Amino acid sequence: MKRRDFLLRCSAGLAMLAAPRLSLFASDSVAEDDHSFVIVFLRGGVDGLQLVAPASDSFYQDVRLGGLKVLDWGNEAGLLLDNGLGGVGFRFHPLAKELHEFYQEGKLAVLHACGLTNGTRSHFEAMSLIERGLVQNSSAQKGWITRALHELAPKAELPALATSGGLPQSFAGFEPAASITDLKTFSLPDNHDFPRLLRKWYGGNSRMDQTARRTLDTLKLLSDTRLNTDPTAMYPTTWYTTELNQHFQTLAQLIKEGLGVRIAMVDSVGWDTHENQITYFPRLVEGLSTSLAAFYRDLGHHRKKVTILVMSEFGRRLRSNRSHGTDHGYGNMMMVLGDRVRGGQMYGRWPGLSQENLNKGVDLEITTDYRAVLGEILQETLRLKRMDRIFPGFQGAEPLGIFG
Amino acid sequence: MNGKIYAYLNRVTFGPRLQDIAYVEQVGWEQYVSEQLEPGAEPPELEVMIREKEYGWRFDFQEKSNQSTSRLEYYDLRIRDMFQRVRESDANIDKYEMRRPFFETLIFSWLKALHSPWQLRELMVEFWHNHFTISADIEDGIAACVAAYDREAIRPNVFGNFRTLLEAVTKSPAMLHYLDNAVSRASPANENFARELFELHTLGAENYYNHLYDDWKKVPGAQEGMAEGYIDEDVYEAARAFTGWTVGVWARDKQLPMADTGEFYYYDPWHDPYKKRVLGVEIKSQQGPMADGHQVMDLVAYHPGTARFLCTKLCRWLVSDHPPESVINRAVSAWTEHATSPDQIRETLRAILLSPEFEANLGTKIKRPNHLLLSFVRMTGAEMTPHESVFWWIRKMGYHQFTCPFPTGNPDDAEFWLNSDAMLKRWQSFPELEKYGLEEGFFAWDVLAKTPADLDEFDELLDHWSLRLLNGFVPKDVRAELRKIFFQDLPHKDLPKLQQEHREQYEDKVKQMVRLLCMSPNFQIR
Repeated sequence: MKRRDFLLRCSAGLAMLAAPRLSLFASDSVAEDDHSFVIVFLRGGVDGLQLVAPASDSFYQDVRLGGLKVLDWGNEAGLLLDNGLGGVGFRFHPLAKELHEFYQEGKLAVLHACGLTNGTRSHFEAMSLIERGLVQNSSAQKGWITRALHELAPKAELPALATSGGLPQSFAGFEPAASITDLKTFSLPDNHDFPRLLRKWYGGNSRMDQTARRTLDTLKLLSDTRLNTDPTAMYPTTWYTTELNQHFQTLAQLIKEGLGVRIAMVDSVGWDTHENQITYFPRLVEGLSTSLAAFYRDLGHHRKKVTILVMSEFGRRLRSNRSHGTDHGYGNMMMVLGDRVRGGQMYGRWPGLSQENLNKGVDLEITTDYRAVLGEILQETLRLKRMDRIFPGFQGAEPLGIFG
Repeated sequence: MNGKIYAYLNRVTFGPRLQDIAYVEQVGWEQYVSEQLEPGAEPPELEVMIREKEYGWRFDFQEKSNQSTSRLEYYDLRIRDMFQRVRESDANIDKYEMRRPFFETLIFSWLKALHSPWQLRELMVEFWHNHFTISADIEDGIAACVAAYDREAIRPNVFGNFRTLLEAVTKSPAMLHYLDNAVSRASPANENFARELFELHTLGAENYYNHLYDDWKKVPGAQEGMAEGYIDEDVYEAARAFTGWTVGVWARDKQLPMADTGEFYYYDPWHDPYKKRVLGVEIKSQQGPMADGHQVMDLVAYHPGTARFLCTKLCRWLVSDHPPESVINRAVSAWTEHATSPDQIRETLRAILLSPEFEANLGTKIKRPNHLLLSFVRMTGAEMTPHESVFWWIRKMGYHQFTCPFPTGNPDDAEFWLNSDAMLKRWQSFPELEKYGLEEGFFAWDVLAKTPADLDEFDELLDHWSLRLLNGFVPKDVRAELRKIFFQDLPHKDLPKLQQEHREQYEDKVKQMVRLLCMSPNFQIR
């Protein structure tokens, strides 16, 4: 594939100078029970009806075009999820093999018909509301991760981390949040005096000054950290997973370093499949499934203290459009992976797909507020109690019982 | 040097150079703005540079012939001619060739940003490309259309009329492919374009009322002739209005009697001709070719919500991340007054650039990564030939030119660009650019030729470059650090002697000092 060569050459071309590392920096040891909550955000609105499909539902089979649905029978049938939901037989997309294995091993819990109950079908608005932990727009600018970490008041060096470039809005207002996309290139060039110079230069109180000083702190903290990927992790080598894997590898390393990562976010892009979903979707699913499995293996024994949530801003339309794609929808699946998860079963309430049960007559309804899922994970893994402080106006919900 | 003029120009150019500042000192700001808003021809030497120079861009398909440089060959081609050329060449032509118009547009845009005297136009080209974002990464068919998009849809309209710009964009194959309208047909139509038409191109998310109303009749204004905002029903109906607006594409579907041009094509059998209602306004059945789409564009382009959304965005680009209401109001007045004029955007920009709010907010915006690199080249007097490494560097720094992974375009506000990863890459970028640039031969920098010869003291040297790059002197404690770094490894501190006896070493030190100045906070802002 030419494009892959191109990307590879790029990363080779961009390999940093073999910069002298900054001085040693002893990190505080991290308490045993420190847990990391990793959110894998599928940007663009994953088609949850093709990733975790209500395959036995005849209405689903009727309205979806071939190639945009998971079959319930035959050689190309999807991978059955034991225990189902609401009497419906659900199946993973056939290429979600690793996810299916996790489910069968009891490590992966699958929820369905979850989401943001605002009614919006706009990427921008849905993401902005979810990342701020809201349902209705308000002047609240802080991210839900920010509020959670303020509650937690972690003392470790690297409590919040985004590895896909930039800082998603979920981290807005959390000054210690770090963005590190690639450990291999996270160093300053050239000269031992530069950090001192920069620290003086960026000595003021502006947002840029603070960010610059925080960056210098993180550089110092990570000066001896090298990427040491578990050889058994087997990250996929397909060109379309290169970036995602780099982000996962960086995150795995930083968790393994024991720097106290409490909440981290990894973005996976490309899920906005309005057109030709038949081509794009299998590749996306296979990439997600294999990369996630590699990340989990890479974590080694640290995986006991890591819980991973896979989510998206909304689901997609039940009926496919005439360009072999699906438009923006509503309710969606969510998945939770971890050693402490009561996996191998589905959670939530399946609202059904008959006309009268659809949201606005067109989309999967939402029966589980996304905040109920985030809240339960925060409660069970980070021991946070006051959900109303993290999700303004949220009164809490019946426990789903995802954790054992 | 005039510090105030530096600040003005730093906002509307890709880096003010000494000669730019001298020029504005002479003609005045208002005159400069007027000139910029009515750009003339490019200097002949720039035209020659663009059309005849060879660029170090290792297009993969050329590996066959071991070429690693090339001229611009596709940028000026109409899409139909490009398709013709591809058809006439080797039937198994590498599909990488399809991406070349995209790379050539990058080359073209950087050369213009670096060398064109019409800097405001280049800044607005960047603005509109982000407003009407597309991505060449989605498919090669889009990459093939990027040049035509830049040349035919964006550039002719940057200072023109918004309704005209909107239609040019809507009909441009790059956008038709990117937001899938090219494959939208009745029924159900593909909603991707219609949704972004409302949310990103015209009314904006602030006027999306879906969480408030579930019936068009309930939206305020809808029964009085124009709804104040839009809901999903409007998206569905607008999507129907644009069915049939497609592209006559080579080999998409050989069954269809389409013109095989790769250009815009209205295909009536795909159109949904029945009655629709958008923003409360009825669109009659069977209106004839493209009439539904034109009517929807009229509704959204002239909507008051669009005026405010667009003017706020323009003010964010030119005034402040948080523009004062007063300047937005000025812009909205000009925008609305000139709604049907071919000078609509020109007059709106004039109102913004000559406003007191513009002046009051200078130096408050952060440069995006592309801007940072280009201003480094412009202001240090270095020479850079466009090269693929530069594209990858800018991309690694988070700026996606014609490849943005989200339809909202590259963000404009500092909040997005201030994080540890981005900050570090800002500092890494200049030494990297220089190192790889020298290795690959796309970067040259005779720093001493760009430095006055009569500077005998370190402080004079530092002051010259800090005024030029940062519009001010560096603080005392930083000065001490810079001095220390400068004289490390130099045999003595006598500048004239260093210049004569250790010229190479001295030159490296001056370059290092200039690079360090460009790592400072002041160089990050515009």
